[in-house]
Amino acid sequence: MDWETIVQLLFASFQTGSIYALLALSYVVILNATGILNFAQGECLMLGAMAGVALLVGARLPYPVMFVAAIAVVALLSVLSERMVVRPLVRRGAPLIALILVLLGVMMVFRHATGLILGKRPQFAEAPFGLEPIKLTSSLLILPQTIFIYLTVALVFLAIWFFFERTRVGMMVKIVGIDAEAARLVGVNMELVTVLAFAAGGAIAAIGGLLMAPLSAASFYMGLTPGVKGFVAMVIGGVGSPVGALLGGIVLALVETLAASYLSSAYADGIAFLVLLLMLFFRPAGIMGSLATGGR
Amino acid sequence: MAMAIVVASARAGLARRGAAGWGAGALVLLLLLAVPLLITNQYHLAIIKQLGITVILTVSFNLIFGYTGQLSLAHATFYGIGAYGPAILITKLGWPIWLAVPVTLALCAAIAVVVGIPTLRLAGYYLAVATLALATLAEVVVWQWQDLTGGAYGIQNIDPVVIFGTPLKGANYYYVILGSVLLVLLLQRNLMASRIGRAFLAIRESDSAAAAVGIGVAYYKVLAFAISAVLAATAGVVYTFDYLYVNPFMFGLENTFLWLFMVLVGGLGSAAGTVVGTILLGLIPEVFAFVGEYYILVYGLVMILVVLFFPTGLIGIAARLGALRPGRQGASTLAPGGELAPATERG
Repeated sequence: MDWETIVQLLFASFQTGSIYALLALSYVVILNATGILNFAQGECLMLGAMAGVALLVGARLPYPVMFVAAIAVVALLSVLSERMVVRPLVRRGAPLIALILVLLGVMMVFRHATGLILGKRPQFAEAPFGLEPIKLTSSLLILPQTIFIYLTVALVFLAIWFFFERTRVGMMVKIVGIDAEAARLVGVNMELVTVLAFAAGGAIAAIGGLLMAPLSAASFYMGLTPGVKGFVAMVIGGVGSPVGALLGGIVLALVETLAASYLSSAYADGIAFLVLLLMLFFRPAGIMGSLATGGR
Repeated sequence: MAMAIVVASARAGLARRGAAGWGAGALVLLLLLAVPLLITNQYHLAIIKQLGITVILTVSFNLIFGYTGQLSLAHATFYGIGAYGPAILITKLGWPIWLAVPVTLALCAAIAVVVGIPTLRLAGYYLAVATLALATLAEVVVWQWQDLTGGAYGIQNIDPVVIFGTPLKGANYYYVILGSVLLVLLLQRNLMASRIGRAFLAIRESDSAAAAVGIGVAYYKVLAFAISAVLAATAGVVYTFDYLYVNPFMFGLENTFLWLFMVLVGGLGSAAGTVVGTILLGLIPEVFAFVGEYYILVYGLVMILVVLFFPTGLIGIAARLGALRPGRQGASTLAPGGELAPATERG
């Protein structure tokens, strides 16, 4: 295999890995702030993609406007699901299993309501920078969308880092993640933190969907697989770690690419399960995690 | 239809000790044995047979989820393996049935153990997502590995079970299914009445409290998972020799959600509730016909409503209305404050 093919495969892996990383990050943000694993995150990715297509193709909005609008819609839906469904259970002190079930229900509702309302036909969004590949060398191509994905994901991670490390609100959320009781005692607004977490999680996942939409068709059932893989990426990187989310996403994508080239691309989707199992067997804390912070 | 209600209420009535309960039970048994004689319409009989298979599935799901409190989303996977295993081993490798079936069941137990050991020592959602990933992998494999599984076509022309020269088909096979269902119910009842069952319930209420009284939490969780996997696989085996044809749709996640739904609506953590929920939802597909293939949307909504407002399911509602003595039907899996659930709900 010549180096150009390898680089080409790396480009593809980093692209897919970035999307996994975004999903993993969305899990991390909500998990750290609330202790809840939001099963509906994969569906938020799907909703982002579908909303994007609907606004771009249906409402003919200019791309930047559509981008922001789609993210806002999904963030809103995410917060709504938390308010209506999660909050009452948490207030009641319901066991974790009830939360898991209810979020599974939300996942089903998002998925199939979207199918009902927006139809079953997969649709592509227009690529904001066109689909003409850029030639780096005589046989090395890269799509503008790929570069766009790299940049956007890097931006998102930077923004999250900035939020948690350099803003007051972000530090509030971080504190809740470290010790919720203590945070409550020092007067942190827990409601606000939860709303922010769900909004941010939904938004990040939606961005992933929007980035994917020009490359793979948006359909109502597209959310499950990325949702599962985002979780696996989070476990690889270390549950609760944003850096881990990025690392985990890339590692998972690399492993999938390897598997696809040596086995068959049809099984690439299934490899995530084996990776998850291996990680849980040998290093459940992940790359970045220590068992003290992970495994909530 | 009336018979179904009789069955359901009589099964629930078995919770009552005393002659009345046993009398009702004997009557139910007689009715069940007479079904192929009473119901001559082959289509209706097929529905009842399918219902029996589904009961095995939901009861085994209740075992891991209702009684032990662990959510596994790979139930359809074990069902599918239970169905495909004998099909592949018998038709493609020529194995005899008495070898193919136990090997398949052992395989499912092994998978459950391998998946369970790393995931069950962590928080609840690890098992949920790991089994979700397993279900995804299984679906991919069964659709793609066409040489082994026949891809979209599945495996056809499986030979029926032959006893003393008579092939067990149609009405005869009904008794196989009935026997299996009763066996599974009996097994489950004995299991839950034993030390093992009490360990399951204790784990459901609180991992740490159970560990504090010396229960090997990880061991029992994996045990529960393995048993439920083997039972689900049994349902698959029973299915294979009924329909004599297996197809990849058996592995679908929608099936798992359906069984979860049945258990939830009937009453999580209650065997009688599970049976009631299964029969009820199994016999009323017409209700969902108008939503077409988006029936999962309805499931999702009802699931949310049930968890929010009726966590004890139908059986809980019946108990509250005084129709049943709570007994072992303590559906406290979803009740608020797991560690604080009232002790009167059990035993």
